[in-house]
Amino acid sequence: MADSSSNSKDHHNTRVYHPYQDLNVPIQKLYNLPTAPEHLFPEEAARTHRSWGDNLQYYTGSGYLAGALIGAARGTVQGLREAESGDSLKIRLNRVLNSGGHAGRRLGNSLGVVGLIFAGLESGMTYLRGTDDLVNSAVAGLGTGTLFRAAAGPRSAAIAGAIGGIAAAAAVSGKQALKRYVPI
Amino acid sequence: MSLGILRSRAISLASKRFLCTNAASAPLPPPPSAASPSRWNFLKYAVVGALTGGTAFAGYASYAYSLEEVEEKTRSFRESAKYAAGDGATALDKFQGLLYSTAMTVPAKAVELYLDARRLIEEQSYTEPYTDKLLPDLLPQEQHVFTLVLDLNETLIHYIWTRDTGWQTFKRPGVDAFLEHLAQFYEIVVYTDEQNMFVDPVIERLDTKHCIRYRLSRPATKYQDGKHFRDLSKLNRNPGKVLYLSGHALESCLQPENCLPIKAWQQQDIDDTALLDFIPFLEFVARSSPPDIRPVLASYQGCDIPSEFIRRSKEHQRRMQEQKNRGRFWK
Repeated sequence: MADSSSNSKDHHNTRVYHPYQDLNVPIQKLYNLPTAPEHLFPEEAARTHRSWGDNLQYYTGSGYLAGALIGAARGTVQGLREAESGDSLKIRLNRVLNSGGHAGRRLGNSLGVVGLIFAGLESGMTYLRGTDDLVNSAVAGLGTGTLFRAAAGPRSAAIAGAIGGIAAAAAVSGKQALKRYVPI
Repeated sequence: MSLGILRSRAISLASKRFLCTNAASAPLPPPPSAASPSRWNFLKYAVVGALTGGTAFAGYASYAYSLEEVEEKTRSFRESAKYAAGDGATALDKFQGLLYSTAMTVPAKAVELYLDARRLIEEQSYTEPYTDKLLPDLLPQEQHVFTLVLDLNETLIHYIWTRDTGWQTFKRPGVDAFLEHLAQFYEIVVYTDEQNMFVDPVIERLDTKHCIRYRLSRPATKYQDGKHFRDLSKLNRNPGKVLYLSGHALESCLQPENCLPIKAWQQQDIDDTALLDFIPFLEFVARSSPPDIRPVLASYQGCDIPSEFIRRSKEHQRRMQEQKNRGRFWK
């Protein structure tokens, strides 16, 4: 029997159980029972972070959505502010919708691209270094800012990289502090 | 009937007069022509509203009532739409009946159309197992072997989804030893109401020693009253030699006399020993090989089978001991 005590490899995580102990029969079969829930798919339980695909969808989607909402709100306010006294309701509504839609789409696309680059770089860092910590996020933020502003010149890229690295480090630290001190 | 015909003619004459009057007055004043579009719009909205209400009502009836209930509730209404004049009815009563049946014909026809469509849809669903012989024939040298049918969720495994960890699947304590030990005595079949694409990877992980001979999943179940039932009569096995072990045995099987209820297991119950506790009983059944297991299970009805089996075994041993003692006393 593979589960008999003589063959079992993990004695320290099991306890011995004898289903025939209440019967006065000569059958002696001891089974090792686990003392913690036993996973059928150990690779499921060993997973400690999102996979690279999950990361890609999460950062890109949430970035685009956040950018679209913020841009639309800002564009709407701007459209309302530009109203002139002689405008009819239809013209005013049209300006607000145009301004909100345009600004929302532009900022959403920008933040979506930023999320895409960040997710790719962070997953790559995790894969290369074999660990998942603050350094990965900070370096990924630095690379994201640099890549995003690379076409605008080296000075702009350097500044954007610095901002990206600081923002990513601050975000990760803030998240850890939130988990530690806020009783959610 | 002749009076009814006369009244119909009178109605048609009146409508003709109305139409003539309308036609005569049409070209004269502009305001009546302006009123025509609003009348047409009202008719259009009325038709759209009626269709929407009818659709919503049909949807609610489909959700809240079964086919037989709807048929029962609407039978009197549909019968009242078919008017038959009584012998003693007066002309006025006949006329009223005719009017009522004429007015109610359209709703009655609509209800009948709905019932026919629903019957057509529901009776053509995949409610039966895909074949009458879910398992191949038993080998000739294995005619004495019992068939142990096992459920999957909350019997051998338990799976759960949480936001933190996603899907996790847990093994019940002792499931490996249970399958390996009882495969020596039984033909083990897994019969579950899950889909194939879930069952196959789970059993490949669960059964690394190939103790489970056959896997039956949702297409093999019988869909009845909104639930998927196991139909043990279609297993192509002697029904007196089939045992069904499940955490929800009595409410998920069409043959409750073959059921072995076991406690439903979830992963937080880490001290569970129910599977291993069943091994003595199942081994005893396989060794003693009763011709029909159903009266044996009927005698255990309502009991916790492993503990009841242990109690009966002790009682049996005590009685054997007394017999032996009495024999010595006489000698």
